[in-house]
Amino acid sequence: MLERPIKSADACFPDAAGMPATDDIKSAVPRRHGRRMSGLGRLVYWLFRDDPPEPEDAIVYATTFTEARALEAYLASLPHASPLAFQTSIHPGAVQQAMIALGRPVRTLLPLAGEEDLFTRMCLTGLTQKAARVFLVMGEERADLLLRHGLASATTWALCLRLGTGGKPAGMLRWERSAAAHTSGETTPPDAPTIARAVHNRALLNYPTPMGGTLRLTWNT
Amino acid sequence: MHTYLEALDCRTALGNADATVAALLEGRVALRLLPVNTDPASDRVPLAPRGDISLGTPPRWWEDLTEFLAAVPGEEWGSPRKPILLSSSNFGIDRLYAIGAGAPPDAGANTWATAQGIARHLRRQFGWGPNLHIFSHACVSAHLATAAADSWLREGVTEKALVVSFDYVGPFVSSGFHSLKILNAGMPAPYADRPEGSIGLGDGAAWAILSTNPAQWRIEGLSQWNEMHHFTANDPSGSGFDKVVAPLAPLLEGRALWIKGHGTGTLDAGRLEAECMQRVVPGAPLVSWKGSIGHTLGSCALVELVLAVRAHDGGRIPGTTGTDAPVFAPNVATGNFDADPARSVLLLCNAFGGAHGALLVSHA
Repeated sequence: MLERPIKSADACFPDAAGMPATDDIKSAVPRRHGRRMSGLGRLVYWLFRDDPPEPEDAIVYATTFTEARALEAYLASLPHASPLAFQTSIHPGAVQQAMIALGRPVRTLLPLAGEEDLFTRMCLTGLTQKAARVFLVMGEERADLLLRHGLASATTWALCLRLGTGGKPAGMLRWERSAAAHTSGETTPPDAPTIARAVHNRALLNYPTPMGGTLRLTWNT
Repeated sequence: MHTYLEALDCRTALGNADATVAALLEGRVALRLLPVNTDPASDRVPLAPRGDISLGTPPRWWEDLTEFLAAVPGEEWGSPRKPILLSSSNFGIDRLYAIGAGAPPDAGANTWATAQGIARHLRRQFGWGPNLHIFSHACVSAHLATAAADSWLREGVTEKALVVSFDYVGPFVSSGFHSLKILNAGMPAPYADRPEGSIGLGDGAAWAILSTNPAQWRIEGLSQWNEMHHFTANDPSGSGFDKVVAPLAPLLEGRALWIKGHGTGTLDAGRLEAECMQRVVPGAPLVSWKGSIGHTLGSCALVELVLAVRAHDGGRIPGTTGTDAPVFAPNVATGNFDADPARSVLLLCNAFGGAHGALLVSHA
């Protein structure tokens, strides 16, 4: 079994009820950095800002559609390609933009892509890191053209789980390993925004993993 | 416990691993000046594709990639104890280029546009199971997939791991690097001290099976560092180059080795890398092959690991292709040299955001 305490967990759906407004998130970022950042990058900055990663921490970042609006801006600029849109569109831009704005180097950054079981994969990857603190970050940004093609998220959101020891943990992330295969017919995780809302609401999560066994998130009350 | 390289191969514009090494030893350059985008009249830049560059569904590289991966020794890849770690910088991004050019919504074609779509196609093609993880961090993508496989093996959560990486050149990415002005009409000359820098882009694919079963080559150490100084420029102090090798310093002490650098042909990064290696491992020859095969982007760390291992096994190491004196540091090897007495190779890679990867492998 691999397990680590969750020090903090947060998820943000800008402009949703009880959530910060997009303008508040935008104004929190230093202006000289903000103009070069995507909406997702600013959102990651918002989630990092009070307790950002230290240089020897690890970040595992997962996103399916990455910098969708920057991709659209880049496509719109062609054939006279925009260098700013190009560099902003590159996976894992959101975390890099946030860390550049925070002026923070970090030793380990593991960016994941994909869709199926992506939250679970992010957690498994995080649990095998040796760093004292591991930041699990996931998010998407809403787009227009690419959404019409089914290649972007319908909502902007992000979540951040900080794994580490010290202080009263908010919960526990646990991988109960077994050699049992992940087979069709088992309960599979819901989509990522639903998981983000569950994290925000401190709901129990319990999923089979593609590496065998079960992933559990439990919360202290 | 060590991780070993059980089997591996790669493919570049010069052919598979052995053919590429042979061509590099002859000093052959695969890069040629081709239009940067789909307009034949657009600026010509150094590219090294396998075949013609075209947009289509499935993408032009699908047949080439699947024919290459068909040689991967059969195992229950994708089962719980045998994960696949797939990495690329671009996957099928040229489908997005087509969308930008006005292609209508097409769910079938769009399955080729994303990392998850490509992963599904590969799983179907090869009957791989769901234990497939996708890593993407621009030009250190393959390094990170290798590092994750190594950590999972050391942790005992996997029995064997298949690391697969590929990137094929297309107008989306060529146009982007052209806009940054580093992909221009000049041919790359890594580590050459000259007035203007330039890179070339090339097709690359590679696979490696990693396990804890002893084999000829083993991983001694892996490291990464992310400067987060600027998105497209390194910290001018060169700190990132030092930081990435710092955890490996005890392993480098007194070891006979040579270095396969990142060496794309840009000036600042090339100078910082060459000077750092001269400082940290003086006397260890430094080479880059991107002046021939081009920068194979997200796949470069694995493609060049395979080439390094095969070259070393053959006894002769190709020098830095496309580069003549003056160079940034005396350790830059422009000519071929004998692998002996070295038993180890230090491999470096870099990416946007000042990302660095370092891998030390040794011949058992």
